[in-house]
Amino acid sequence: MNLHVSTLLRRLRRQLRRNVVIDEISEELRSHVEQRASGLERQGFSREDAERQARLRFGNLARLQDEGYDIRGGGWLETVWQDVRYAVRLLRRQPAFTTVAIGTFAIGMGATAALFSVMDAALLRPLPFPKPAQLVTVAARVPPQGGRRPASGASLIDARQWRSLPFVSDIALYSPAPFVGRDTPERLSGLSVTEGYFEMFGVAPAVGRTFSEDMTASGAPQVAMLGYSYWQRRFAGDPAVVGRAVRIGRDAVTVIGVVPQGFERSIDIWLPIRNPANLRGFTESYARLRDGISLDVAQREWTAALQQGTPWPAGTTVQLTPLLEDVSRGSRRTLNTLAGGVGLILLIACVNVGGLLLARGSTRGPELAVRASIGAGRGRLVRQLLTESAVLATAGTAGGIFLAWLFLDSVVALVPLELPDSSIPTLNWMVIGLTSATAVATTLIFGLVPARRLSRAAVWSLGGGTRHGSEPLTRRTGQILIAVEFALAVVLLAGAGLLLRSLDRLLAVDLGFDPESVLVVRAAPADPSPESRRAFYSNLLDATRRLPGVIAVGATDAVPLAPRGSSTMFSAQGRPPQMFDTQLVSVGYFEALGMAARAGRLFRQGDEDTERVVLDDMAASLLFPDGNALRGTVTWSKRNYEVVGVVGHVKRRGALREVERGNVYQPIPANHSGVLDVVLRPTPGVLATAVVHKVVMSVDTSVVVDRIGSGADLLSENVVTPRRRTILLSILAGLGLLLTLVGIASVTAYAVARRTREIGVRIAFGETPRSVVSNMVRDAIWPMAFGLAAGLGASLYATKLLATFLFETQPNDALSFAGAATLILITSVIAAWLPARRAASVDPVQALRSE
Amino acid sequence: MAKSPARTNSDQLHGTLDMLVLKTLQNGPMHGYAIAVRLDQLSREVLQVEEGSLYPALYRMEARGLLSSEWSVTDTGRRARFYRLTKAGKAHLVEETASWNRLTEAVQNVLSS
Repeated sequence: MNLHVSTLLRRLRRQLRRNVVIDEISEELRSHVEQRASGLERQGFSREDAERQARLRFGNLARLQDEGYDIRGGGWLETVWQDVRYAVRLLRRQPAFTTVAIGTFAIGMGATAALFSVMDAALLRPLPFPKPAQLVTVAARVPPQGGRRPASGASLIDARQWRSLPFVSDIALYSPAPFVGRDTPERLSGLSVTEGYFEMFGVAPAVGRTFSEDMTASGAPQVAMLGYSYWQRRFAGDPAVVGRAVRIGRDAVTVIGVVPQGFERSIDIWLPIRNPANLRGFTESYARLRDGISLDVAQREWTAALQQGTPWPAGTTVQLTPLLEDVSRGSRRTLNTLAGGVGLILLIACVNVGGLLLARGSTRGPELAVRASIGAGRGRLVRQLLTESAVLATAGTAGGIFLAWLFLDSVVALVPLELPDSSIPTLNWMVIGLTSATAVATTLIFGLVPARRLSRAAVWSLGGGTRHGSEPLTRRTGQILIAVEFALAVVLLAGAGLLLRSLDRLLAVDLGFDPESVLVVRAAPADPSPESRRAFYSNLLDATRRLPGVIAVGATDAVPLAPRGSSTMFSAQGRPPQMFDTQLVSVGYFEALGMAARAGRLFRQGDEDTERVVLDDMAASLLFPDGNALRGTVTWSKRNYEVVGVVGHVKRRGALREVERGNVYQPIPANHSGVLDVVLRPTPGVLATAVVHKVVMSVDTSVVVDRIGSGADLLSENVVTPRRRTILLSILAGLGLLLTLVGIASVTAYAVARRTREIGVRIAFGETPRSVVSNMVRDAIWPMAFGLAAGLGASLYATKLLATFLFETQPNDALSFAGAATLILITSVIAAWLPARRAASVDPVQALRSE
Repeated sequence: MAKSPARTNSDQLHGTLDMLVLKTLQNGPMHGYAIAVRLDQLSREVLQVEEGSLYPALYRMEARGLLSSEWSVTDTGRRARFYRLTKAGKAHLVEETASWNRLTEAVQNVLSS
């Protein structure tokens, strides 16, 4: 055993001192021959005879040296290293091929790395907390009571009771609460939480301390924790912020700590929940279950526990959802689609590089044949060729990761996902590892076929095979390659085409008003008291009404296309109540949106605080199917309202897939204290937003302005996700098309080079160059036709994946498919034609002479 | 580790040469040329082995742990690589000799029947 170890060590050392081993062997063998020669000389032979005889007796010195080296020191590692160096030398001598091959692979790998990085952030790392599997969201499902769904947020008392449940390790409530900072007027995003929130996530404060139970008591001093980036922004990261006061809304709160970096990045300020302890309001709950408790068991027992302590309404159940699932739920489908797109690109890249290797392989016939003749077996040749593929793949992967690193931020901006706040896509080791593993797998895919073909050709050529028999990239293979790439690219393009069509439809939706013609102002005074708000809006409406070029001005509590608004059930004529959207509007609102009364009239001065409503036509037809909406009565919660007018329907919350409901408009009551959106209708081209901004600031200097912009911006915001998705998939499709065109071009170029002699013959026999060129192109067209058919067929299945993303577009929309097909056909024919032109300039004499 | 009785021809050839070399080294370490000369002498010039093939055999046996080697000086002052039997080598020699004897005995029995 000892011996084996020392032998091993010696061999290992010899790996590193290759020349020493060679020299040793050489010395030993030569010395033997010399000694034999001397011995023979002593027997009486002449020096030359002795040497000759000695050598004869010894055998083939070179072969024995090689054999010896193979046994003693060379070994496997050495040959691989030799192969690598040889491959690098070879690649450097063919820069065109190398660039294209590495570039192609880099594109594929770059896309893969970017995808993995996004998947990693969205699926694997969204919860960078200890034992994330134990975290769940807790939702109490209260059955509807009398047509209304009661608030189901747990109270503080609930939370503390639940914390002592045997299977619960911790629980925390939270409630979003936007706040307005007063030190500098700005809107802050805030979260109210219970004690133990940060501890549950295993997060310790960067500075200071977290909330304790007594801080949630209603009379306790107001305290707050700052978010990390807010702390950097406003307090320049000063640790002495603890104890300072910050003015928020109406109050001054004392800072007691700072949340560490990276946790819930978007929250600026944290406050303890201050509800009355028994109020079941608008909170949401997270919990951490104990080790080993299954979700179902916990759910059952929790539901049972609801009836102890402060009982919930009968029939209430608890639903637990793993936080991981909750957070990544929306992502899965999008990620699957992205993964499909990137997978297609990778396949195209592999086929491309494989084809390039085969094409280049034809020039290596003689060299490989020589190696075969000196005893390299087929396996050895395959190993060498695979090593070359591996070198290409390594360079390509490195290039790809570099590309991904360069473009990662742009890609992430384009990704149509809501990524959890705590995880940013990066190129971490997991991502690099996965990418490398993919590279290895794809290298085997694209490398094996050329390696086997070339080695087989080399070995056959030893037995006297003809030159043509050893052609690695046959015409048939080239056509198969083109067909396959074509089909894959068609699928990508069809998908992109569908999304483009859908986006187009989305932007063309009839919103009920022209968003470009209105300006929307969302601002509120920093002082949130009802009096200051009322005064502010009243003054603002006056001031803007007086601006030159303003046709109409109005206010509402929920501007169209913004994700806000309430809904209530109304009934009419004794029929059962139905759900409608409600909206508070001021006088002038309809005019500002350019809406006219279709029946009756619009609101006017004096309608405030009366029981009057305006319906849109959808609501009118639902409430009054026989058509007599005007002057009819609608009822809500035992109060009657008179319908004074009917207007057209306007899309409320976003244009995509929202169930459209009828809208019931009510005048803004005089004592309304909420935030309002102000809508202006300027004469086109006259009013600049800067002017409006000045007016707003002039009404109240401490105003917090959320937005002053055209209604078109609102529309844009609604289509952000579909737009991103479309752009991303279009980029992928574009890359796929590019790679395919490169593939087609190289296959055709290679075919021209290979068939030079045949072309020369044809030209010599009188065929026109044009006919020769079109012949070459036609060779590529047949596989394109096949590829198109196969690709369209595959698209019919593949695009079903996109169905949820499409708006008013069928997954098999003919126009999109036709567009994709046309694009790729035209570009591919050009890609085939360009290198084929070279066939026309073949000199028949030269061609025939080259043998 | 008993070898299986069925051995191919080249195994047999290798094995035989190996056995002879091991036997030669039984009396002490020798360098390659000396082994060749000794084999000549002992076999009374009947076994004409291509001398060079001695070396791959030596290297193989060293790799298997049957021999160890070191550079040293011959009695003529030449630098040479000396091979010596290891314990495993000695054991292997005993095994192979026994196996060979069984084989020749069997052949002898058949021939003299």
